[in-house]
Amino acid sequence: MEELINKLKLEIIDALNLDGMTPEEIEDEAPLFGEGLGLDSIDALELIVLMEKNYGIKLANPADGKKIFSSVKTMAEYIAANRSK
Amino acid sequence: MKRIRVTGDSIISPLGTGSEENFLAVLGGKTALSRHEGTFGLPEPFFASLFGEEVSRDESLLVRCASDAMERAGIDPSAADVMFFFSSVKGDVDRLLYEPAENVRKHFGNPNPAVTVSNACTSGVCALVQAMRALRAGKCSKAVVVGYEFLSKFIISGFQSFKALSPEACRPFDRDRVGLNLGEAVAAMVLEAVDATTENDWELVRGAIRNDANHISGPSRTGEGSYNCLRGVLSSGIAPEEIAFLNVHGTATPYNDEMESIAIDRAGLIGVPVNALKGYFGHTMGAAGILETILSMRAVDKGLVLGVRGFENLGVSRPVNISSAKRETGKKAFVKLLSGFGGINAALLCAKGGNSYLPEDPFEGSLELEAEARVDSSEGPLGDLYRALGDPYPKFFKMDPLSKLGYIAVERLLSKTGRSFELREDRAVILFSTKGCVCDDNNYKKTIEDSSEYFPSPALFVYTLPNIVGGEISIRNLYKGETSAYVVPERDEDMIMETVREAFSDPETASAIVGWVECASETDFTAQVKLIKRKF
Repeated sequence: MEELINKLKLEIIDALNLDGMTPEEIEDEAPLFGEGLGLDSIDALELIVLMEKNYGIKLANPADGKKIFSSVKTMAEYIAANRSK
Repeated sequence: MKRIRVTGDSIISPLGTGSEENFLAVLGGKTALSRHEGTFGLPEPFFASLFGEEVSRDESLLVRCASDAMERAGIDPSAADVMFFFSSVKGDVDRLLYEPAENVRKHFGNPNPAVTVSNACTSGVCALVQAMRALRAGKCSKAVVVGYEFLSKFIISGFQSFKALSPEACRPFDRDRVGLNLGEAVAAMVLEAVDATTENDWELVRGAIRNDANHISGPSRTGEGSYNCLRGVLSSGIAPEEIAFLNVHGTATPYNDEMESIAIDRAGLIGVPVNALKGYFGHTMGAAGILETILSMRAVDKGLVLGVRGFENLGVSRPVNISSAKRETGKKAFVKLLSGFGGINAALLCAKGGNSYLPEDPFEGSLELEAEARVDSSEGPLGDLYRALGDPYPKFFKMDPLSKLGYIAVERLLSKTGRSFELREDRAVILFSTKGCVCDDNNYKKTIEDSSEYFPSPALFVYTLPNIVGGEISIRNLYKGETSAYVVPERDEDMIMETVREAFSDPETASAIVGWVECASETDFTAQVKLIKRKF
């Protein structure tokens, strides 16, 4: 899980153009939206693309993203349980 | 004071050819929305209103539609006092946005420059507003306004990536609405500047364009820009009781319809009947403002408020006066309302002639240049120029190259004038280019071209709209005035300054950031922006 979390942080920084940010600066359990990283609705849609592209997970209902993307840790757990690549 | 009379109109849509045929189809409750599978090479099915295979999605359709409208108006398109205005969100995604417009203008032998207004989904109303201003300023005596949108893998995949599409026919304002349907159409109106109108005429009275300065894709939760637009057209002196209906955007996305209900309530118009036509045609983007205005004029002429196809149970927080069935009205005016990506909103008041509603006065004062700034690719890459500003704005790195360029240029401009981040409703942002979003178009295409690597990016898609750069500048600086994006065949400073002068006919506009913002690629760009103020 540790390894997946670190890989995911790098992928998030890249996909969302979080310039100058390092994986160390993203806490595993800090909220991704609102407070924390301050991501917005377009970022949420990009995270859906990221999961499909890198892990073969298709999220039909974007509303499900809210729970999955609450932190890097919850996102990693969801990916570990549902990935097809 | 010149009044703006409508002298001809036409619609070509999947529901029919000509305004009358389209109106009768809507009256009969018909829809062109249907499910499409495998169309445009899209891997996922979608629900949309598409032209049949016999229709070529190009200038020939624009020419046909404009010809029909001009024949009804009885005008000669090659005359020097006629100007063409176009509205489209994406035009033809494989060419520059000004090209179809330029070809139509040339086809008709018209000698004047043709601008394409690309203000996302409000483009149609914005082009009408632009034409009204040119007519009132005396730049032309007749105007042909053509709105169009053709669908493609590009546009549909983009909206799919936004999870904005409904898998069935859309349900505007309904509690079970889940998204919009896209549609194709061409619509044209011919306008004329006259000294007086009669009760048989249709008149475009007053328009307003306002930015939410909130988010580049999400509608304002307080209905900010739409409310300000409604306020703008109400300054004509029309009373709510005199309005037959508000023909709103009603895309049937959860957020849009809710936002509109809030704006209508805030503007004191909650008792006025509301309708939306997306259930018949889908969202026809660049054509919507013109198509929906034409059908609303016909409806008033027949004493009707058209019913909202797809609506059953009210699903917004305010008690909007809406019905799925057509209703009777004896009133002689309506308001067309639209909103779109980039935080843009637009409204237009249309009324039968002989009314006493106040139009915008043409701007006759003088303007002064307060400051000017330039950016050029010879100075280095955009990222370096941003860092040299020394003022971190993390969102910069999420922007497309065109928005980055506009951002840097305006930061430089404002560093010369001193700045405050106080909300301003009186500052417009008016930008011109020839290349529009060509750089972003190419980046987005890379995400959809290869079927084994098909991952359409919502962030890249939204930035393929030429007005997003203006939206980013408005968000950064809290500007809630007009934002407009024009795509033109060549850089013509006189034409730019005329257009800017006309924009000052909006009484709310006290100053404007005006710019030429041209981005061919990450390493080939140039911008020149000016801060221009009304001189008192």
